[in-house]
Amino acid sequence: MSDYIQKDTPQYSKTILSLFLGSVASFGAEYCVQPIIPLLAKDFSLTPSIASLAMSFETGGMALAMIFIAGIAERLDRKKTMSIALSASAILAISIAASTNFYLILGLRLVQGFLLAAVPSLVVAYINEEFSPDIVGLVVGIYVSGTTVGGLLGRFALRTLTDIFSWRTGLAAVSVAYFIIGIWFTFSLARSKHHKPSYASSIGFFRGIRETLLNKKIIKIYMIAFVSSGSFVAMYNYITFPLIAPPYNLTQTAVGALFTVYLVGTFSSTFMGRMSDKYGNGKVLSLSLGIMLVGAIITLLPALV
Amino acid sequence: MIGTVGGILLSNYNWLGLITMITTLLGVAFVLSASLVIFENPPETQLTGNSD
Repeated sequence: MSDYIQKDTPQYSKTILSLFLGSVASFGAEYCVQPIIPLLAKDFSLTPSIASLAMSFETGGMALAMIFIAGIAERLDRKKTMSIALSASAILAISIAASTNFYLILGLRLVQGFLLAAVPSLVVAYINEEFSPDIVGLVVGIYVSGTTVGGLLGRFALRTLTDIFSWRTGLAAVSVAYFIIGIWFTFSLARSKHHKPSYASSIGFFRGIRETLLNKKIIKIYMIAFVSSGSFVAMYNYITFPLIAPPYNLTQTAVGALFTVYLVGTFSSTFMGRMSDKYGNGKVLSLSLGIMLVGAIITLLPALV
Repeated sequence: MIGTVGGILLSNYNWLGLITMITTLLGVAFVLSASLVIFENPPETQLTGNSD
């Protein structure tokens, strides 16, 4: 009998829960300063663009670390690396809550980005290696839905706690929750059965990166991710501008409600994952990009509804 | 990076400028993903000219 994780088994439920909560904690930690950027600007007497570097440093650290991970992925123990990344990034978030120097916060965010890069990259590798091939798409979909829940829940909890107490108390509280998830993840996620960290067979750091960058299929996937997530972010960043201007004149609250559309992603990621198991990744990806394309064109219509 | 270019397009032109950029980029992504479909589903049979 195959020792891959099969659907509807106790191990499946336990591993899915670990991965889901792991993605909630990692995305929660990633976006933990986004709602408090205006408060950072006020507390440290910064301009909004300088205060927003607290997000940019984390993203930059993540992008840099992704390149390193591509070169050493085969040497990394999946579970150990992800567990350390989750717990350590939560501790760094607690340090940010206690920090009285903005430049120290930027440094901590950079390191946090370095650590958190390990989670999405190794989770996908772990799922591919440990789960039965016919449910890989579904499991990746569930993981992605956890990222949307983590992003939304983290921001909502932090915003609420900040309103009641202060941004420092709010950030410390959500970070402690992420730390507890990190510890729980360490003990609940099963060790890799199909991947052994290998130094002997390693093809070397720079060669690993080179081979990754020379793989045409991987480059295509990178380009699709770069273009589609960039377009998605650009759309959400700027759609508020035409909506609050004439002829629509929507209020900030009405425009804010638009972001609940994010929740569609929580369900659609699992649905699309299941569809990709059935019909193939490329077909489902093409369909999703086609829907995005039509959606972008629809925004050109003058009518709001 | 795409967000920055989008911001420049929106401030210098209008929503149409931004959407033109987004639809062009998504069109490129669509073509790339369509090429992945060909990659993951190689034709199982070749046309040989046989009637059966």
